[in-house]
Amino acid sequence: MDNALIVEYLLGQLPEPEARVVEDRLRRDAGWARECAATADALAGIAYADPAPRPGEGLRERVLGSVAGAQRFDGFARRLARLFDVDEARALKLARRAAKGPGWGWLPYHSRGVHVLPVRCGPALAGARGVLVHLARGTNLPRHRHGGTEQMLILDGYACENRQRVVAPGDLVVSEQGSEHQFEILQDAPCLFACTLAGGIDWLADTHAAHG
Amino acid sequence: MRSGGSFTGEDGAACVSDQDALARAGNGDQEALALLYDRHAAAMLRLAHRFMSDSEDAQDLVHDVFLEAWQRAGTYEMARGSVRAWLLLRVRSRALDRLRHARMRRATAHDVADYTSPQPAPVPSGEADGARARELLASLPAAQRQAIELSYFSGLTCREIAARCGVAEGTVKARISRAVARLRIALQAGSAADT
Repeated sequence: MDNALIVEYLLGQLPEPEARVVEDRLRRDAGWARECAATADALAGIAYADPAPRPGEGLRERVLGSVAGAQRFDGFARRLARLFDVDEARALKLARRAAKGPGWGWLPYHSRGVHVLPVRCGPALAGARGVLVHLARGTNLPRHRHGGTEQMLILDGYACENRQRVVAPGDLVVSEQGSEHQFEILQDAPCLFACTLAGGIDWLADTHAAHG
Repeated sequence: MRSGGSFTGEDGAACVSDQDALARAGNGDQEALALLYDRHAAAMLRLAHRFMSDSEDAQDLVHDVFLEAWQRAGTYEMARGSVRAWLLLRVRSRALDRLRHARMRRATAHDVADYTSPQPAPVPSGEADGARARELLASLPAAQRQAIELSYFSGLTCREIAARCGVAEGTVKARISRAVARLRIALQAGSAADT
């Protein structure tokens, strides 16, 4: 058994193909799995080496509020405010609106199953557009090129960017002018993100006209 | 071990394992998620603070990992480690991912290149686990400690650590492996002494 390989795997040091080989071995070999579990617990112990800060007031409520109902995106209000350059009260309203899903004020977008809610951004984003984007289950965002910087804050759902990076709620994806990417939803569930765009978008995967 | 009903009440939650709580959280039980929060949030926040310089960013990260636990509890595999280890690895992994992408955006690597082993801060009372972890890390040979800290807290690859320390990559791998083995033995001995 290669303990060093397991350590490297747990520390995220292995290239993807080698990591897959280790994962396959872990599924088949109980001895490797036991070794992996014990090593993972030892590594977890390192996390205790720093003094513990007190969780900020409201974090517990924020976590529990984020898993249910109309308030489930409230936990992102601070980040929505920063993204759109709006105050937190307005960001909270946007979060509640997002929790309701596509409805009044939402517009169909480029692909079937994609809806956007235009957001009026603050002065720091003059000239940029803000949107909430909802992708129905089974929808993907085809490959496109950015005419300006794009920032995406994932609010709900899991997606794979360019078949490489898995993005999850809370992740911020920043794409510079001229960059290209595509998203594939990973689970049979909708995906929701907040987005600012400083330029237009050229869709590359099909014949739809450019937006922007 | 309980198989149904509420976690709260006079018989409390002490008899509910983390695995049960995570499975129940994955099935939509908010009390189970609250139980996991109460048990592990402090440690997760401690680790998040190690990576994120901004306190609110650290709390956002912990928030996001609990949300992930709620939505993707099914990806946890008991055979690969404890729920605690899984949650802490998710904090570390997502913190490194965020730092990596922020660094790519800035096109600099100063926060990794400038890494030095942090000075231990004053120890809060009742921090038995923290004190033990600090003691164990301090007991490692300096080269092993440096290698594991650069890997664990800065996310450097063995090759990057080797270049930084001026040694062969294989030497770094061996140092990390030995460090983890020593930590594992010491932590297991500590756990046995506690029971």
